[in-house]
Amino acid sequence: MSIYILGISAFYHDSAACLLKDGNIIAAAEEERFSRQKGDARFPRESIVFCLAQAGITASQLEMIVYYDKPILTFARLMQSYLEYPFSSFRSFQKSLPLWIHEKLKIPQVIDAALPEFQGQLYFSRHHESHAASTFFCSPYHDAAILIADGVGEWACTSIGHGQGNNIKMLKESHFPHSIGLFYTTMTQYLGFKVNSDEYKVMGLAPYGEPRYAEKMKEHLIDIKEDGSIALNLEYFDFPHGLKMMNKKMPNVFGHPQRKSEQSLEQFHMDIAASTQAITTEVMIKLAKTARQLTGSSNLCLAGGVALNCVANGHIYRENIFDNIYIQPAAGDAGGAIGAALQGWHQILEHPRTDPADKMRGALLGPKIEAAEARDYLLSVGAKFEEIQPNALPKKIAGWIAQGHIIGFCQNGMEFGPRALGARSLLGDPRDPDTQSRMNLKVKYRESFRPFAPAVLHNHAQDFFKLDIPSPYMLMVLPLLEKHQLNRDENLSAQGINKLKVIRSPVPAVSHVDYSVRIQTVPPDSNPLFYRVIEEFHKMTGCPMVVNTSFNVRGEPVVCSHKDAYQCFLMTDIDILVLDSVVTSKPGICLTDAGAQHYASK
Amino acid sequence: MLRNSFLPDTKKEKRQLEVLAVGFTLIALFLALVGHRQTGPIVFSMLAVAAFTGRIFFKKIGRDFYLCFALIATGIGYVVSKIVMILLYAVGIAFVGCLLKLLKIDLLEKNWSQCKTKPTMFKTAPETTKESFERLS
Repeated sequence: MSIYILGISAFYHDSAACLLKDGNIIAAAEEERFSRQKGDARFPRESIVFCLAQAGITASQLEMIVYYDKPILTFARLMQSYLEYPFSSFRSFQKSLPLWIHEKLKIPQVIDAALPEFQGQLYFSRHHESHAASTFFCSPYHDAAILIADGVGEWACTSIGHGQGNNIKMLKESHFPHSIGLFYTTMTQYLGFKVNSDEYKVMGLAPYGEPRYAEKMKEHLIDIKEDGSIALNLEYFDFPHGLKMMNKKMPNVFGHPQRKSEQSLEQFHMDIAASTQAITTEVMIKLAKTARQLTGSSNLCLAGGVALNCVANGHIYRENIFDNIYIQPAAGDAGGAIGAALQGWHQILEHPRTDPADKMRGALLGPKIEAAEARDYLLSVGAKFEEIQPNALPKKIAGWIAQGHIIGFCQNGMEFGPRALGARSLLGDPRDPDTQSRMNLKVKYRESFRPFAPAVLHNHAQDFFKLDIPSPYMLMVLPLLEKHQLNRDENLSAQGINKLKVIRSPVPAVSHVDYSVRIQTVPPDSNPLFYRVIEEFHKMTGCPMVVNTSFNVRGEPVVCSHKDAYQCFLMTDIDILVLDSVVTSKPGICLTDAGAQHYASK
Repeated sequence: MLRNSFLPDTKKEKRQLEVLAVGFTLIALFLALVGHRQTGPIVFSMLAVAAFTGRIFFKKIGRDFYLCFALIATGIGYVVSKIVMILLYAVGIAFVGCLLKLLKIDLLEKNWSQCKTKPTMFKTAPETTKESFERLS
């Protein structure tokens, strides 16, 4: 009889559930995709329902549930922090205590209420161990150094471990409040962006600036040790006891007030972003070197929120500290659900790891888009659509992209993790200089400075980048090869946001202002239709990549169902929507000759 | 802190009115027995009668009674919970925190100049055993 294990992460941010069948991930999803609340931290009911339905089982058939965190330890850390600030922590105490009493300390009761038929065992893992398991047990390595960096778990903010076979041994950890993740989040707040959500905007803004303030940060805010551990100067930070990340002293360090959210971005803000990124990169490189030294392994597994910093990941790769790097695509808290479940299989039930391979299977672990359901829905809302033979579909989509159309592309299982990898994606032509601003301003309604990423045929990645390892989860930023870099002088002399106007490469829509690119390499096996679309685009245009960005608008979670996708399609300037083999388009766009006649007749 | 529902189902409303009726009766009896002045027992008896009436004639007036009690309870609960939080904070956090300060105990390694002199902020990670998954802490 098969053994089913459910992993759950909840109550902090990005709640999620993951189901294993005999040690293999058969379903995983984040709650925000169902509830449509970005970063939803509530108990992941809908995700659990989906996981169980995917397996065709009820909760009574679960062998065990593993929760990704030890709430009592986190609660103890919270109380100790309040004790350290007895005159200023009341507001935070008052806000957090009821939440803890009602929910966070009552995980067994919450699970009992949500899954009354569950009869198995309930286990609790440590937060960083869940992250470590999510990356090591999913990686194709038998032996690897493990580096975890995030805001904070129970106490640990950064951890180094060693994975061997079915065992993970955590070696070192640095404790709250000295956290590189919380430092990055604090600077995100100083720059007027949303905490625990907009950190990637700081990363995207950094290339417009110079790290002029890095030394000042080191002098006043952060002390970086040789081994990559850090100490924060808590005189400037409020997060251990307050409701904000920084306090009023922070602006004095830089002589500038905190930016307000809709205020325009100036060179100063770009320089702060660049400095924050430079500090983070330095810390991550030092941590990777320490991990190599402590474990002696030539493979690295990364996870934790800071592992979503693809710029730092790219630098670690370029430093040649390790031969191979694997980054868990759901490196944030959602991935903790996967790690917890895999710990259940390998560390609690002690099953060995036989023939390790990437267990994430392209991260397409969520609900599938079915053509029949999409067709019924489009009929019910009176939309005009066409069904295209699966064999003809890649060529048609590639043709539309080459014509400059923006495609909403939904097929296969939804991605697990923050990146859209060709299952809930918006696709565009990377050669068109207008694609970036059009996608940013008219489709995604987001800031014009933010770059897009390409999905590249895996066997053509080396034509554009110095990359010897796969990057299937879009978690690595590398520079374009020099031969593809155009207008260097013009780009150097341009300042700030004006850099956007310079055409920097043959693929301007995906090359950032510093000639860096966030790469997704696409192999033929994990997402075949997506691969074939890019292959056809390559045949047509000679360009082996397309723009790939998440199918959502600013502030919304990535679309999940055909219904979400159609609603997003209607609200934005997306030209064509592909729901598996069912295709619909905006008026005036001809899908086929028949389509052209249809629109002409209108 | 309070999580009062002003729209529970009928069954829950009836149940709460029953609990209120019995509870107020017991309080009134207790106050009468310990020789409290007349005001207390009379007020609580009246409340008990009101709750009881609401329960008996639930279809006609029960929901109005329930809402009245819920509103009053919310007000009282808001004030009481604030007081409880302040007391908890004063005794559990502020007092103990001050003691720690007096004893110069630094739980978070807050001292920046001391931290700067350390060669590392790393500590040895706790060992994981099969048993450690079974405990919440």
